[in-house]
Amino acid sequence: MNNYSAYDFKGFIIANNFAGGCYPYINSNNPDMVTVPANSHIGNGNALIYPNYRDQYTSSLYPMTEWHVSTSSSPGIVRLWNHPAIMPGGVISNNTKWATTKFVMYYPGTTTLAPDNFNGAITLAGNSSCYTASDNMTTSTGNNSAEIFTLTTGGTNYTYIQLY
Amino acid sequence: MASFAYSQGTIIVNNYSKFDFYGFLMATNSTSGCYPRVGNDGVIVVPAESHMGNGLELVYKDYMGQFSSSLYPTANWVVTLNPTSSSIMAWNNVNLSPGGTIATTTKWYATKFDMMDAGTTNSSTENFRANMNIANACGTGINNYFVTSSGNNSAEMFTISGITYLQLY
Repeated sequence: MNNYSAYDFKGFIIANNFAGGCYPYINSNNPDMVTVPANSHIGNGNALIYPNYRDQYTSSLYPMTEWHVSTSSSPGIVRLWNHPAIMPGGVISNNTKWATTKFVMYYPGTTTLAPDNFNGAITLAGNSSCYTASDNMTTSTGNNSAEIFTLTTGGTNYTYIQLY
Repeated sequence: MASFAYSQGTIIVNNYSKFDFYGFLMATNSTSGCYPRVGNDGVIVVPAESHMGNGLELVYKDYMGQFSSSLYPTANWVVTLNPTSSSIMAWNNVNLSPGGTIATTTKWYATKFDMMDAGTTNSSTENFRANMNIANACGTGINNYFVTSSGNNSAEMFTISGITYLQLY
């Protein structure tokens, strides 16, 4: 995630299945919304990078301690970052892809909302049957925007969330 | 080449724990009621640390084919067609063929198991045993997660894209 904007990002990070049905469905849980400060991106080494549910805890600047995992429409369960159920190469990890964020932007270091309703939810194109949202948004003034998309490099899928 | 549109689906058991799985895997009617219902007759044993990561997981693609393709074959199935009629069918009984009525009307939904200290038949001191099931047409509720009282071990059962997974940690 690259936050190029002048506002702090605070949002849920969500992954889901793309191979038929939306489950497993994984939601950030602790913190429920992760904070990525204003002007934090790959250009200055402050991007949020989650290589997988587990390793992000030790490698990321913005570690997620717990994930909420739903394997069906029943309530699901909270998993610690190192629970084997969500290990890299496991069934749940192999069948999910980063797909969605639901977020609110704040003035840096505050809980004062950014102007022009700079908040919303965006999901990957083609994922609307699992999460009802567009893959981009722009504020009413056009001053700020957000987008989510994937790129594949060397056989690895990367999902990018960018805030401008 | 015939294609079989059967709903039974594949079941995969990944035992990531340090205990041996001794258990039963059950399928039930996939649309309504509890019949037909199918479960293994003899206990299935999946040794400690047998999973997709090392190629030692249990895979049953159907009642019949599993006998020759699985690492942990089941020779006989208990088939219950109605509340008063239950019989034991060998894996190669024609009634269990992938295109047959039993296979096409049932789906994996439950397990009951007891985890043993590896290489023994001593129940683990963790009391790692449970009855579990996923959502099903038999209406037995949902009990798809289990954790031992110590929190050291757990199990979960779920379905992704027609494949039912039982995972033991």
